[in-house]
Amino acid sequence: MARWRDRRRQRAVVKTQVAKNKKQPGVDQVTGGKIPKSFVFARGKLPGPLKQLELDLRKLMLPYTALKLKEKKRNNLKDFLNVAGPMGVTHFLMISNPKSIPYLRVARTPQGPTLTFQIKEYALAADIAKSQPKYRCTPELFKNSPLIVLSGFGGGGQHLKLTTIMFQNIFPAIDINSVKLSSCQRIVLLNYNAEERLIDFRHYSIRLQPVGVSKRIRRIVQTHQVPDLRNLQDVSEFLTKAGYGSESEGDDEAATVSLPTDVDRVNKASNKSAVRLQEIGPRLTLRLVKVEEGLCSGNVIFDEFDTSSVFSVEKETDREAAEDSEKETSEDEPADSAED
Amino acid sequence: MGKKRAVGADEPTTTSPLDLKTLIREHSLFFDQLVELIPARFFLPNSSSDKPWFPGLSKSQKKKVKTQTRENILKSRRDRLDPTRPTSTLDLLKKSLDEERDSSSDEEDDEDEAVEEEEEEEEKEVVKAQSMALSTDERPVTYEELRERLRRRIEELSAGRNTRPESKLKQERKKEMKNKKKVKVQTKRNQENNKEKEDASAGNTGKRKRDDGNDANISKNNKKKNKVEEPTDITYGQVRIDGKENKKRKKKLSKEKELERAKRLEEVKKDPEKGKKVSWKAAVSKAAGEKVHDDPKLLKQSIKREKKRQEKNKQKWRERKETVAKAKAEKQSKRSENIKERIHQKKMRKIEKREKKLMRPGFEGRNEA
Repeated sequence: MARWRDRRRQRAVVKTQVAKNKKQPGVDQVTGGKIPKSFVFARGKLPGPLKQLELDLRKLMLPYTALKLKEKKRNNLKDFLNVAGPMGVTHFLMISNPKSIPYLRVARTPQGPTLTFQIKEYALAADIAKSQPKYRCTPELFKNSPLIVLSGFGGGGQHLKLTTIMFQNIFPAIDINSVKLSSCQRIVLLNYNAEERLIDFRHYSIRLQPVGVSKRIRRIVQTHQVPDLRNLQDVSEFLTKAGYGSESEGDDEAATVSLPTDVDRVNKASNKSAVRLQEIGPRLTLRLVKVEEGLCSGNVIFDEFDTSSVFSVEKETDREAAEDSEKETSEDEPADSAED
Repeated sequence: MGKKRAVGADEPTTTSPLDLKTLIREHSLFFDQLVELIPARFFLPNSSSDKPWFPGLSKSQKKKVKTQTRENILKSRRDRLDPTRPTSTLDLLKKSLDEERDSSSDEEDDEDEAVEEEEEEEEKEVVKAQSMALSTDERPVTYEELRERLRRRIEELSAGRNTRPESKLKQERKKEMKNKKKVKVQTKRNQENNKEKEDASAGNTGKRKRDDGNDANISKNNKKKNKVEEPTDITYGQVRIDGKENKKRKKKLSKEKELERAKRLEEVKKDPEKGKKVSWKAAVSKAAGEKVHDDPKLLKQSIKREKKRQEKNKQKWRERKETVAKAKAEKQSKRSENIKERIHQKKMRKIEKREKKLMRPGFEGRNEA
């Protein structure tokens, strides 16, 4: 009986497993460059939808971001900087809402430039999910970082060049020769509208579908489920039945690619596959408002609403002092104390 | 046959014989149709002798019976699909009844037979006509017809499938509209710019003429630009291709030199034109991840830090040397002391030995004469 009691006690004891600290690699093994990591956080108090937008952006930046970053009211920018150094964080994405205008600031940590975007319009990932009949968003999508494509930024202007470089460096580089096609599952598109000077930000998931294969056969190969032949007289009917192809079957040639390697069971090498994008994640319309030399400090080298973009240093310091005094009265406190 | 007679018997007696007949006929037709709906194997009585009994047979017998059943199945399938031999329930029923009648022909009279046969034939025809009328749409007549239908259907659907010739046109039209708009906006802007530039110099009429000329050129250029730039205006994320690694290795200047350089840069920044260039260059390289040392304050800090570090290291080295020397000296002194002691002890021992002989009892010491 004593033995039995001991066994019971053993079962009651909770086995504390030592949680393995999965360290994220600091250096990309393939390309040898440093992997850029980011923090997405809010400065000041945000209303509900903006908080949700912050979470959506965090999800977008996965896997090289702190998903469960907790910020408290008393945290300054300096605190974040102090933590960022040892952890190898290179970019900060900050959302703030001064005077009820949402802004997104993208900055490079140690001393880097800060791009301030005004968020003119935004749509949350949840809204997009509800608007689509077949919304597909698995957690596997977020195990690899997204690709990025910028369009319309070549139009000249140093600020556009800086924006492209900034966004290109937020996501890690890919080595063409050795990248796995199955790991490119998400894509971020940025489109610059030169007339309205707005940047459209979109986030899609990539799906490859073989071209020239009927839907039924594809479905059998992908999901190994036996089809329902109840209403058919013969197997040949199943194969040759002219069912409704998907509406985008008659696609442009531009959307099909011939794959260099096998991607998965259905998409094989040197076969044509159509690239299908489905929108996930938030939608933003941004306008570049300010570029500062330092991290939320330093010279303002580009200002949207001012004709003369660059000021001399002396003037700049005076102007900054004036701005600071203004900001103290209008903006929220935490943002303010950080910028000091 | 018994059924039909029974039905006839249930009719009310008030109607005339002609109406009765028609009524009976109608009812019989209705029942025939009902019988048609039921499959033959459920409706007709099953002769138990037909059922094969497998378990009690030997192997060879089983084989035979199985082949027989297989053939039967194939035969029945073929019969089912054979359009020339309709095997509806009604016909089978009639067949079975004929067989019965043949087997028990002595029971019934010939007259009745003839009458019944006639009636049967008439009704058969009527029923057949009706059933044919009902089911010509559903029953397939021949294979050729089926194939024809399939081919027609496939053609229909493939013709209906649109490979988007219309929508392509639409897209092109849209692009044109966009280009036109762009051109308009560009020309407006160019006009404004031109006006600003040439405000001081030319008169109004001259300006306008020049503007028109410019406009035409500009619109052409813009059109060209728009058409060419749109597809090539796409940039992608960072992509590494082997072979282009580390072509530029910037020389690392010492910190003081960097400080001087930074100070110089600051001076330059005050100058609006060049300062712009410098700031943008620095911002772009910082955004790309390269370290740019252009802040003299930070550089001074780092120089100071390095100096302190060096000082500290120097001090540490000194201390180490001291301790090492001290330890060495100690050990040396101890060693030499030990050696001295040993020699001394040796001497003492020798003296003792010598003196031991003279330490006899009653001896008062050596005579030192």
